[in-house]
Amino acid sequence: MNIIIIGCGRLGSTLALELADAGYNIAVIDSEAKKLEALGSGFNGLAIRGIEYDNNILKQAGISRASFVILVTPDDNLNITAALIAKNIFKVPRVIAKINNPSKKDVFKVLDIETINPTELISYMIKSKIEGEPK
Amino acid sequence: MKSIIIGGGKIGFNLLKTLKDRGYNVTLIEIDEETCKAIAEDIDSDIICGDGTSLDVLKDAGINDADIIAAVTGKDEENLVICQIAKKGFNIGKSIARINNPKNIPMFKALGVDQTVCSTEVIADLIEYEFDRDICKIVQTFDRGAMILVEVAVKDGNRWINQYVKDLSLPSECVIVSILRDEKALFVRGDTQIRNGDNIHIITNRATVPEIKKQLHSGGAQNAKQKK
Amino acid sequence: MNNLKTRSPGVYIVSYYTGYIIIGTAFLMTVPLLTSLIMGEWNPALDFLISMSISLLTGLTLMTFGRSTHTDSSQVDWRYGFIIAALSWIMLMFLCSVPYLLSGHTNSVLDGCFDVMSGFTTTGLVLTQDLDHLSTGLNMWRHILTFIGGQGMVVLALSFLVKNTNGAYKIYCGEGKDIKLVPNVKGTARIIWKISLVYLLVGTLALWICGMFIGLSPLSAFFHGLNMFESAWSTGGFAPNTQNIMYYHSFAYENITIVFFVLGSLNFGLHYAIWQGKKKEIIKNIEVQSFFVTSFLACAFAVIKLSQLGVYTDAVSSFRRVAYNVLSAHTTTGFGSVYARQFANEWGDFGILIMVIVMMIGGSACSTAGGFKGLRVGIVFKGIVADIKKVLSPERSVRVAKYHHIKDYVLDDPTVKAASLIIVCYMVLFAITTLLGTFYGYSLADSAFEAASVSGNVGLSIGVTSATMPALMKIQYILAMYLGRLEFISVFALFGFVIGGIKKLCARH
Repeated sequence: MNIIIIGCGRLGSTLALELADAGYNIAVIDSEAKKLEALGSGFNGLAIRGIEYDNNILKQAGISRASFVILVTPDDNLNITAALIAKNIFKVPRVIAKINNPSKKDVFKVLDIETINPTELISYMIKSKIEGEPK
Repeated sequence: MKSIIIGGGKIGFNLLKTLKDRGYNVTLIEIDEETCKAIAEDIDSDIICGDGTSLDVLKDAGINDADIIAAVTGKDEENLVICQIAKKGFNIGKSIARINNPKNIPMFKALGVDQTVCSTEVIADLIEYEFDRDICKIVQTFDRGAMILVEVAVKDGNRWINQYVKDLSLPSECVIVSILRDEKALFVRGDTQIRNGDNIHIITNRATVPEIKKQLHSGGAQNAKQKK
Repeated sequence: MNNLKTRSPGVYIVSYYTGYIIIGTAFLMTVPLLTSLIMGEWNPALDFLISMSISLLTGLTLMTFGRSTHTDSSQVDWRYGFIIAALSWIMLMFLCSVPYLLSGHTNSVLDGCFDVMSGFTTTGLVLTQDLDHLSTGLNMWRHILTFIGGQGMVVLALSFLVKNTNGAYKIYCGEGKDIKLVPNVKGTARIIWKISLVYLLVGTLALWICGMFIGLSPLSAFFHGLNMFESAWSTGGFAPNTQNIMYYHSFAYENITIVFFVLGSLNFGLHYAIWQGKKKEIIKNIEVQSFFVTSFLACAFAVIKLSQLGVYTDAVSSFRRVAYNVLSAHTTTGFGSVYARQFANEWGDFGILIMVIVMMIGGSACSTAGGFKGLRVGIVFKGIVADIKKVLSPERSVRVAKYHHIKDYVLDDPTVKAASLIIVCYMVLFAITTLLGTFYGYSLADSAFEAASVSGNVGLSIGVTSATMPALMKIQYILAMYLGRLEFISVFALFGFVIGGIKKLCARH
């Protein structure tokens, strides 16, 4: 299965390394070469430096064959733009974006983009610890 | 007729001023408070301080009553998001986005942005026109590039000089709309004669432009450079 | 015992993966086993059965020994990757020589290892005695070794890797390749195999038909076709008979082999790009350009000189005896259309030197070929050109040179440095090997020719390689083939690891 990960920060790089080890075909895109170095030179996948939603870069990453596109950059607008392009232009089956700023939740909803909300998840987990519920 | 501008940089600021001077109802959204204050001191108009991609901020700016939205921030992706929210969330009639990278134009159009403005492309075309010393200048593109308005400068040695419009053998995808002569616009009929120094405006598509050029050139003209 | 594990997990990781690769290759012995059974060669069949058992046992032992670390899923570092690649080649060299030894065709363990290493590294020099009477099974085995060696034993093992591709890319790089055809190295390994197998079918068919045309019996033509294809594609140079390609006396047969050994010397990335329809790659690729230039020049010079010497004067024989050998040398194949001593006696110093140069340059990177690789030659050349341009342009102008190899790459200093250093390593290896040859009394031309042949994994011989060669030279040649094929780094890593391990052991006592 081909998966494209856009954004190679801590989350992006960790995700990429784990998925690559699990045997998936992973391509990581980030505009900063320094960020891509976090993957290490032995990374079992493609590391591409370029503008995250650029047509040529996406094609190089193999978006036409991708089953998943995961947006995990720190910039919500970038995530939205790339998600829209992946969904509507390249017709990728599953596009998942990370929400950085929780107040943008509605925007993602309006634009019909599947999301993961780390702030919500983490606050929920901490709340459960405080309230002593079993995880 | 209300419009909203998002982005208080040089373009947004001057846009707000111009439209206000022309008497339109315009609201500006800008994220930086200092910038907002500076603009408010200069222009008497509604200025909202906030993130233009946030639904609440847009509502504050009165997006529910707006007919047109112009996203002119410095980032292409931000402009795209704004236009998308406007269309899908608020059913805005027309969205205009400023685009810095010409490569993004087709994508944004495919995603439903009505109108894009790319100064990069305009200047690039102008520079190219100067280099090519070409007779055909692209003035405007319509309908996602399917139709373009071309200005043809008629000079010495042009085969069209002294010909009547009805006698010209033009390709089918080509319509002459007007001729600019001595700074006056002439409306073209079949019996209009073309003279040296005329600027002819033609509606055509990109594919037909080389054919038109071929028709114009007399043998041995100095520009042999073919446009791609 | 636990302390040992945590303090040197490397031993266990290396053991596990090496064992894995050994088992993968051991299973391959079923092919010659079956061949022998089908052909009714009972003794060879038994030989293979024994060899297979020994190899499987060794592999399993290693895997079990290293298994506990594996389940802890510790990280496979770069050094482990290289060491695993290097170590598995050495161990396989011993294990795969068992069939040779049992067959009685080799004079010593050293000779057997020499032949196996020659096969793995797709060199093609032979020390096996009485080649013409080898059992079909053993001949099959020799050619399979070279076929597998061309793609890589690590690549073979990786295509079957089911889980835990952690570190897989690093082991892959240890074998001298680094190209990623698809993001995951497992996928890359499989594609390399697919490409090779498709060509295997096409090539064997072509050679089989041609074989029958020139008069071989269908069964014989099939085996010859299969073996010669494996040898050509892997740019190995083995042949079922001592006379090598001359056995066939056929212009058509030779030409078919040219097609396949040139194809085999091309980068797998290039093959994949063409399969995907990017035909322009053939023209834009730096390696193709480099190869074209060097092979054309070399053939031209050689043909001119040899016709001037009066050795080969007409077009056909020039092509068959000169160009063929030059191409065979340049792609590091090793099919010889002249006898070994003819190089020495007829070609003269100029001809021999041309051969030495093209043998050292070699084929493309990430292919079955050896030598410096055209990519490095191209990079260094462009690097020199870029430097000259820098000197000639104003100080403030900023220039970035690029080269095209499947993708566009920037020609930066680290790239040029890396390429140059490896070229230096090859040159040093060549020098030492030549030195050793002259020490034992062989002429300079002979030693140089043979040294280039081993360093570049070519396989053409000028007559130096023989069973009566001094043992030290055999060892040096084995080492040279090994270093040349794996491109030095992984062997150095293995060496360093072993020395480090010995030091630790000594320190503890």
